[in-house]
Amino acid sequence: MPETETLPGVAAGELVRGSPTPEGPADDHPSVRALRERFGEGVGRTLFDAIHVPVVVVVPERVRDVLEFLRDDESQSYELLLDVMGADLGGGRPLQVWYQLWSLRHGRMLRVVAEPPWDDLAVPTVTGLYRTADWLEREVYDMYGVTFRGHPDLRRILMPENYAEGFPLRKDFPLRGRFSRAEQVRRALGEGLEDVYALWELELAAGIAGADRDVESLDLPPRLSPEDVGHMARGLEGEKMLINIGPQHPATHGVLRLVLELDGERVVQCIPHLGYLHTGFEKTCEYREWNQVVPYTDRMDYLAPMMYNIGYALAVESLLEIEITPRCRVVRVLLMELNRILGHLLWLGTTGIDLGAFTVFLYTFQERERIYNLHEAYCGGRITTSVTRVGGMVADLPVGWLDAVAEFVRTLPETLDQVEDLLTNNAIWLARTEDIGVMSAAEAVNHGLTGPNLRASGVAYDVRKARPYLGYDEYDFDVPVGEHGDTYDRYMVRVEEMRQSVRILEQALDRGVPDGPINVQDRRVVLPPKSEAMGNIDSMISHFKLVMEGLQVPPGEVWYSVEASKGELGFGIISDGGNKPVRCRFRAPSFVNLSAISTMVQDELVADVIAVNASLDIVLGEIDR
Amino acid sequence: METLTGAHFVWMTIFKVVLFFTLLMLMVGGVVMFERKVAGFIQDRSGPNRVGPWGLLQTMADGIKFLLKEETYPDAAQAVFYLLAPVMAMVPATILFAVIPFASPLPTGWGLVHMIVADVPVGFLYVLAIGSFGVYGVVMAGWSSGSKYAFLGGMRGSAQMISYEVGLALTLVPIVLLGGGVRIPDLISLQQGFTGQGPATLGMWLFLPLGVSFLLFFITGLAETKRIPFDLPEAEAELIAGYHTEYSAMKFGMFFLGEYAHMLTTAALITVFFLGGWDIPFWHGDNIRVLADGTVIGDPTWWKTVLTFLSFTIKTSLLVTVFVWIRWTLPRFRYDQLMELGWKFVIVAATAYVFVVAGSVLVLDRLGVHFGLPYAAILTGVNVVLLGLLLFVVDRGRLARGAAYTVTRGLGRASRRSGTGPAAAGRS
Repeated sequence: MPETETLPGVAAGELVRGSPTPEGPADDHPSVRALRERFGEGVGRTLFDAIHVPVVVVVPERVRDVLEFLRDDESQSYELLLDVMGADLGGGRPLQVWYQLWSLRHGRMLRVVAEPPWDDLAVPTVTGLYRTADWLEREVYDMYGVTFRGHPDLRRILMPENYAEGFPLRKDFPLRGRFSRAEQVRRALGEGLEDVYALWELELAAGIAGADRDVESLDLPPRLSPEDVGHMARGLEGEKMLINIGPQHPATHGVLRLVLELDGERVVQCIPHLGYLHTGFEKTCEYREWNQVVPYTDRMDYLAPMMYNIGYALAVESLLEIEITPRCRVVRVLLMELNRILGHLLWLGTTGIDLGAFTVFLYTFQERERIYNLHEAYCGGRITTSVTRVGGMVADLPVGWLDAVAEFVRTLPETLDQVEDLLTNNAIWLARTEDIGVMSAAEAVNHGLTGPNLRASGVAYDVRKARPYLGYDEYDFDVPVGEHGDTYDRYMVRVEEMRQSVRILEQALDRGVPDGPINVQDRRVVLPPKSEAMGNIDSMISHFKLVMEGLQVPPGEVWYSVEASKGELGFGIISDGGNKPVRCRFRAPSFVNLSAISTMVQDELVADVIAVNASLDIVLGEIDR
Repeated sequence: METLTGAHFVWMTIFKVVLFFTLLMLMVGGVVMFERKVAGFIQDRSGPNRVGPWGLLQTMADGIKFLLKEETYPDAAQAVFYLLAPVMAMVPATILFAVIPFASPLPTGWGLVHMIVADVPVGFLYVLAIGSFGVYGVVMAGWSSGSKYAFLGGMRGSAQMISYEVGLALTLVPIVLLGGGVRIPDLISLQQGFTGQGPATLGMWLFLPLGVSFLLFFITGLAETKRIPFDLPEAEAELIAGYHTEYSAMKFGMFFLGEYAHMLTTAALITVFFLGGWDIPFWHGDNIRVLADGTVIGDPTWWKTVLTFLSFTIKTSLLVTVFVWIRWTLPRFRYDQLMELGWKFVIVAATAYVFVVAGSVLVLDRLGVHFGLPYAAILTGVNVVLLGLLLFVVDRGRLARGAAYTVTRGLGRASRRSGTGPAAAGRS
């Protein structure tokens, strides 16, 4: 991890912009060429993916060297590791491990892919280069069984530590698991220590208990011998306390468990424990047709559901290489920004509650309620909206809906002002948030923070500006950044982002939503209207094909990302030309953001853990997926 | 008219105990209801409105619920202390009310009845002594529950209450300096204007001549009630419910009642100490006092008792409203910040203030200023200066002008005005 406070090559607050990918074959891409020159045989085939991002396949053993070169070489500077994901393409093809990189300095994206052979599923870890790789690699290990050599803490992360059925995202793993239902239930309800607690936790507890008790009398976890405990006990000064924040706790915003080792009220160690809400969306999506994936997406970030809906649709449309209609683009921008406000309002309210300011919560929830009413008016759903279809939306806008949005946009700033009156200058609020959970720009990037959490540290990286989608480059808005990377800056950035969203909404409404169809007029993708399907044989046939066979997406791969309310929301999607995705990876921003919490709360107080956890704006739905 | 003696006194005292306890419990219920309604108003929602007309019976329904719910006993709890804790939390808050006079004396056929349950000679020393008992409930509950959250809450609670107890006591010393005694009815006389017979009085409510004391007492009183921003022993976002996490049904109900009774008591104490008690402002008809030798000065009548009771109730309710208002407006302190405020600000300021007041009293006495309105006016001037110093020098104006503008970082926060900062490059 870089020791410098500032990020070399990226001035604080300077907007990160993407640079166009040069024309020509992938081999001519500057990064690819540099890699070829330097690593020679270590670099295998190269290609462009569906959105023209260069993909470089490298020899598994060289992954760490390649990434180190890419991160540290001035001409490359891929400081931000956006994603590490596995992909099992099936059919005996080698397993893939993707490293999605982004250079803040040069505004370039690159994908490094390692293909370890099935008989030796191992790649060197890159945790030494990117702290964010810690959890991401653990997830790949958890789901695919890839060993990351040298990883400091390679444990399962979403599945229980003593999960014995194998690696769920491999193609040979049955959708319903290997064990019988009865056996699964028996294991899930296990009462043994190992079923309930993590092994490290038992070890820690044994160490604390051993500090003032006869080691022999302890009920020791299996991995530990009395000598170990005695050794650990000697290392402990004074008596520490282990306390569980969660999984049922008012301030964890879901079923997150933070195990705190406390010295008085000071945090010695904070170990997050995930997976309580893990439902295997990524696995399920491989068994669903392209449009059937949509309802799963909004169940991840249920606080700003349309972000996922729209992001997923955009990702699949990029594989299909279809252009959505102008009307659809504007409608999606409207919905995206409404949902950004929706997510930030929830964050604001719950953070208020966590720090004791209850009234803020009700003010923001009144506004959220109005957005939910807009949701309901548009699609019938309030939380689980499922508004997109590949190639368009579920329906056209209802009459009068835009006026309702305009009314909302007009009055929202008043509420924001009220909330700011309560908090922004409040001495207690400042005391609780200033210099709490500080992340320097370099640290934040190394931890893979994105979204408001990264911008609060002074890095003006916003996907809407860096790689504009949906025509965001046609709107005039600012990217708020912080200076100190503390909890207060994260608060200020989010409040300001809401105001900027209001600006975008105003512009979209002022220009007016273009007339015309909302869905693409491509019969391979979108169902023809019933009137046509009933009266016209061609339409009827395409209707029949779409309904019976589903949408077919041409073979290809893409890692597509949008700026969600919580950070960069990535979709790693692979298609083999069929009617279902081969791999459907969701790069959940909360998952990566949360991984920084252990660093951020080190040596802070219990109350700060709550403040920092709140300021990260996590949603467990997308963390556990 | 003579004050009550003998058997009449005993019977009347028993009657007053029963009456005032009932009254207090009813008022606690009322305050709970009131808080929920005000919270609803502040938060732009209705508040309770289902049970009874305007939801007025909601508190009653909650009380019945407390009685009927299952009592739980954690395995790890220390039974005796676990059961004793709610009692220890509720009793001090309730019996504090015994020494608060809440109306002018009532003339009856048997003699003059003081509208105070126990006119104890130790006066507000009793308040401090009994107030300190409250901490036992918190400590016992936290420790005996056998839960880590409760333990942390109990620890916080005991540290907090003990720290603020010191500040509370110190803020009352200036009152002794002015009043020359600790009997509470005397304090009310002190704030009413009397001339002639008996010791001279100031004739001004003490929140003016002792403004700093008033401010500090308000803060410490708020801290003693363990309400936001001082609700760290409970801090539901951190410690679930703090020291009473493991309590259910009526055992929890007693903590709850105790808390609201404490709030009411604190408001009543502030009224008595600084807002003239049951005194009606700008009217001398209610100036009634009983001297140490039993002489009654003034003209007590039953309607004056009613009016002064109303005056007392209105003042107390206003203070309760302020408490409620604060609770639904402010966030919560952090543990160390709370202790810092207690030890590094309240205690220091209160101690310094004792010296300032003592010095002023000395100087004024030497100068021979008449102990009455002029005396009070000069002290008020001193306090205005001191308050100015506190707000703008010690506090650097954070309370008065808003903290973000005066903290060390100053105005130039990029996040605030991104559009004009370096990120303005982001305009497209």
